[in-house]
Amino acid sequence: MLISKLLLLPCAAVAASAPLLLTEYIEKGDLAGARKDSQIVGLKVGTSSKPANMGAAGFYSVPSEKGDRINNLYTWLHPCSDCNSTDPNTPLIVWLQGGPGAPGNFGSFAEIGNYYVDEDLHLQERCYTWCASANCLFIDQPTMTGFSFQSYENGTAISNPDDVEYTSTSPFALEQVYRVLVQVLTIFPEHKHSPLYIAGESYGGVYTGNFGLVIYNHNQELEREGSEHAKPEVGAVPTKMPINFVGLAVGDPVLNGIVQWPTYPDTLYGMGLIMLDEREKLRTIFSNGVDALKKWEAGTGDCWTAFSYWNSVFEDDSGGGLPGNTVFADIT
Amino acid sequence: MVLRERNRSMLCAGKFCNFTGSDNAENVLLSGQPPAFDYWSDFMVRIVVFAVLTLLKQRVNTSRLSLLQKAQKSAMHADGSPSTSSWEGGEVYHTMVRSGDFCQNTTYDHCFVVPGVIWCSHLSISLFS
Repeated sequence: MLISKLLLLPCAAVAASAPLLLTEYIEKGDLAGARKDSQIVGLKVGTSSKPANMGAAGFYSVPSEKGDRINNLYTWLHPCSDCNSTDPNTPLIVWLQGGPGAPGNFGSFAEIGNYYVDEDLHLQERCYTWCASANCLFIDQPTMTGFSFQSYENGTAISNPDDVEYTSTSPFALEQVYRVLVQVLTIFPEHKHSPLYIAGESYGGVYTGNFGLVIYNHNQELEREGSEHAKPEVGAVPTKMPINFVGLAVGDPVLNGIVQWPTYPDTLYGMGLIMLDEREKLRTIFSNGVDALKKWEAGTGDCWTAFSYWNSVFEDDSGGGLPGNTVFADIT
Repeated sequence: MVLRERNRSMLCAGKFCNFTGSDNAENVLLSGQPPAFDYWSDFMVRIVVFAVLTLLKQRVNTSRLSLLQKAQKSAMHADGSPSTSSWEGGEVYHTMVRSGDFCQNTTYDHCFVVPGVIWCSHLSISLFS
């Protein structure tokens, strides 16, 4: 009982601390304050006294899909480790983790960032990193992914998940990411003209193309409208600016289930992970899944049915951990 | 622990281990997660452990409160959020399925946006023809 009380007290203290809402700084015109307060300081490499060069992080606020809530998206600008991070020619990579629901933090710490966390929970420098020669931007999105959260219009955070207005489609999600990017570049204008690359993995394959389209369309609008929209009034939160979008990359991406799903049985068989009869079992499941996708495309079926076939193999919606009770777990 | 450390030293000579921090390549090939994938989320929530220690030590020495300020989650400015979801799935995922986003073919979005070269690890270029 004593232990649980001791645990509850600090948890309450933690929950009570206010999130760093950087959009409020933009509204006040305090960009210098935003830069200063968002710096990540005090973290060391391993057990040494060497400071970790982590960059800046905080929450950027954007309207929810229906516009009557505020999504506060946790965003981390991770500076390059082996270049001049403020050089406008240094590329900026926007990394879009998949899921849906996998946080950008994961991509940084577990995959491409300059630091990983060891088993003693110390930061260590990663030997192979994408962020050595490029600045990297990691965003927990859509809302309720990672540390990103939603609040009512009055600013009160929504703690009841049943009351959250979740983002329903990638175009809506990436429009919100675009607005975050514009705010980031407002606070850190040294990256405004940097060559921008979008990269993502897994469901990030859906996000990357959509994000490219959002940027492309806004760039086109700004060209048509002239440059006035790129210079909002002092204190106003900008919603558009020209983006120097130059490239896009995807790895193990979700792009087109009708093409991709039928490749799994042969790929797994080729890797030696399943037997011939098991390949046939998977072929049947994914064939049914593809039929369901085609019915959805034709407007005669629902997406959930297609997803159910996919999920019966991988249980993809429960954390990506293949926890058992899946076809994949049974046959491997 | 000794055995684990010994195994790590034996198996961690290659690029895979250096890159992922994991020595269980066979599990990764089976789509299991390397243990290092979990460490970051522990790192980010370590503030609770620090807070407990701080609270206990505060009774003896209030200067220990600085421990709390040095906690990783605070340093990363991730405090104050009611959301602490570490992994994919749940309602964020299901909402995308119900809307049909999950079933979209986004191949042509990439083709439209990037008329030049696109690199994919799993797909052949025929996808875009």
